[in-house]
Amino acid sequence: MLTGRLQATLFFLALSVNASPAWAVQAHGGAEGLLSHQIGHLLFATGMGYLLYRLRTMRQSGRGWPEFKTSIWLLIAWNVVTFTGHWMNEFITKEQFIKDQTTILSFSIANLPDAIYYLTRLDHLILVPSFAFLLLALRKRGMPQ
Amino acid sequence: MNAPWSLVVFVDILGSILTLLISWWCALYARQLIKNKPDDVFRNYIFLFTLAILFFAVSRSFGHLVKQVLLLNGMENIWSQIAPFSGAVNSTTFVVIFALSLAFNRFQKVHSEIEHYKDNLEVMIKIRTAELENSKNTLENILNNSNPINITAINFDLLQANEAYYSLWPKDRNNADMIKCYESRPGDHCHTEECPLKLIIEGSEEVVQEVSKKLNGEIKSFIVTARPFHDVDGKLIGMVESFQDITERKRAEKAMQDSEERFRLIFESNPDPVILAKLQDGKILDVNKAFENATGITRVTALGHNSEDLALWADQSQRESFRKMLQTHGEVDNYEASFRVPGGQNRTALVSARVLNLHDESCILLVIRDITTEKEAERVLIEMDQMKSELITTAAHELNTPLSAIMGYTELLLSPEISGDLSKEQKLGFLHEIYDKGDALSHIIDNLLDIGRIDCGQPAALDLHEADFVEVLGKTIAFFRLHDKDHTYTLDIPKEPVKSTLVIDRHRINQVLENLLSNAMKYSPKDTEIILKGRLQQEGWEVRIMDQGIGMEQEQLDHIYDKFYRADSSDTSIGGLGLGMSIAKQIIESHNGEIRVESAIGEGTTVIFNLPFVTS
Repeated sequence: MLTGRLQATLFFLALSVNASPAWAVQAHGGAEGLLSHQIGHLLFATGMGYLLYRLRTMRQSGRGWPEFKTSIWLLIAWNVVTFTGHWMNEFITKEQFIKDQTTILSFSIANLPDAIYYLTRLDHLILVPSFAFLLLALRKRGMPQ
Repeated sequence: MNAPWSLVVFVDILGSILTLLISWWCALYARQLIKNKPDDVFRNYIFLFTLAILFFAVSRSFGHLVKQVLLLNGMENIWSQIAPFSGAVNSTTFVVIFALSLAFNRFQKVHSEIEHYKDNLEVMIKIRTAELENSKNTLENILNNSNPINITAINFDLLQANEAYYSLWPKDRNNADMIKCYESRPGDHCHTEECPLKLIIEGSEEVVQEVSKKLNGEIKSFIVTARPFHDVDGKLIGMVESFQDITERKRAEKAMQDSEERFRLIFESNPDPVILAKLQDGKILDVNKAFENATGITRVTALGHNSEDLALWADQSQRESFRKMLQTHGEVDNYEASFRVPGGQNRTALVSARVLNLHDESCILLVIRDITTEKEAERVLIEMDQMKSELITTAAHELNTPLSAIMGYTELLLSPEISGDLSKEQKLGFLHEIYDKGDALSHIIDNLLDIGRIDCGQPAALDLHEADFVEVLGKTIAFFRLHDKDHTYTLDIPKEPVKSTLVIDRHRINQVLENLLSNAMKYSPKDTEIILKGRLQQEGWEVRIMDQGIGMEQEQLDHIYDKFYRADSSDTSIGGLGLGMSIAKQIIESHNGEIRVESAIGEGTTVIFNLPFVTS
């Protein structure tokens, strides 16, 4: 019997191997490979999770730490969103992008994965606040104690 | 359902731009964060972590902007070539961020340890700083001592000095260079073997010297103590000198010396004997010169002994009484007592004493005033007063007796009733009696005048002529044989012819013979023999008047030549003023002769005198 962890690992590997040819909106195909990028996202998110855990155990307090934690939480969320987006990208067809001569005009949403994909393309809505909170954290930490 | 793709593009472009801007801002704050505390490990971690995040954000945002620009311009092929590199950069950044996240714990621990060490270090620094502050304060207190202190280097540079030092040896404001100690305070020990710095360099651990300096017109004295001054490695780098001002102490010592000298002088030159002794046992601590002179006991002999050891008190009961008075009252004034002096004599003295505290020990200061002379004078005065009373009584009696007779005979002769019945012979007899009594009065008055002259220092005036001494003796004895029928008068002179011519005042010698024979007559019982014996000697004549009278004791003999002295003053029946022997002695000695008396109670008295042939 395969363990759950092993099953998950094999699932991600299969997804990566079956990656479709890069579309104009697919940023992480080609030489880089989606798998390595997704692993990067996982590592990023794991690192952030570990950091949160440590911050929690060390019971850091003081100015800036809440903002810092919020920023990390948002980064984790962003990683989840982008990871999902990259994953969903594999199920999107070229025909779903309605174009004129050169420009994509709209995206055809036929089902929930399509909708999720579309939303994941708006990841800056999470990333920018994350950096904003980081900015606030640094600003507060950088002020004289 | 078709969703507008332009929203995705808009959010992507705007988000990238915002991300770049925020990243730039974050970078500035991160830099500020580390700049504030560059040695803070944890801040360094935050800085690195932020840089990694920002690198990711920048690379991603830049990549997305490029992507959107290329896609909007229909250059999809180019983007498809670039995209893997952009993604790879992002992926690599993810790994770095992951690694940094894992390192958080390590950084945090190191940070905690460093903070812990830092806290400990800060505590240690605080403690050490406090210790240093204390040491500094202590040193400042030492240096700001009122006593001058200085530190001098082994090259004689004056390194440090306090205000007290500079108040005595002011700085040369014009000379900014290091000044040498011998320039700052030149002294007698400078450039000599006694230089304290030189002695310290040679190995002395402490050099103490007394120096005197004229400062501001005043001679000041100091005790200078110099000790080695070492650096932290124990190397000798100079000396520390402290100056203790002993000017006032020296003045006090000098004043004390002068005072002691004055009191020693007063003590020594006091004309009365002075004794300083312990109260407890009376042991003598000091005596003065007058004590040595009065008692014949030297100071060395007296010290350590008490008056009992030295047998000073003639009467021990007086000593005991004096001691009790002193213990009771603490002082005694003019206590009259007798003291023994060399030769076994006793002297009378007034003793005054005070109990005083000397060096925490009770002592007695005794002053002894010898009043022996005063006491003797007092005794003589009393005797003189007594003699005067006796003289007045005797003189009155002596003068009254013949005067009464004269008055009686005169009244008889002047009374017609009585004188008419008297015969011529009786009247003549009365006149002879009056004459004799007048002569007796004249004799008494002559004696008084003579003794008055003698008392005034005028020797008896002599009218010297050659005289036959045998004839003088014969006429005198004949006179007494005629007038005194109660005694037998014998003249005992050589039978053979001898040299009897003397140069004398015949009247005065007659006076002597009459006085001496008169005394013999008065003090000899009736019908006894009185002998006048004359013998020729080698250089003159010796005369003895011998009676068989009552005689005299030695004490009477001792006073026989005293004026107004009468051997038996109680017997008023025996007349006389008590001047005869005194006048006789003066007259004989005026003739260069000698007179003496030999007597024994009940055996009679012999008066012997010598007269030379020629009186000078």
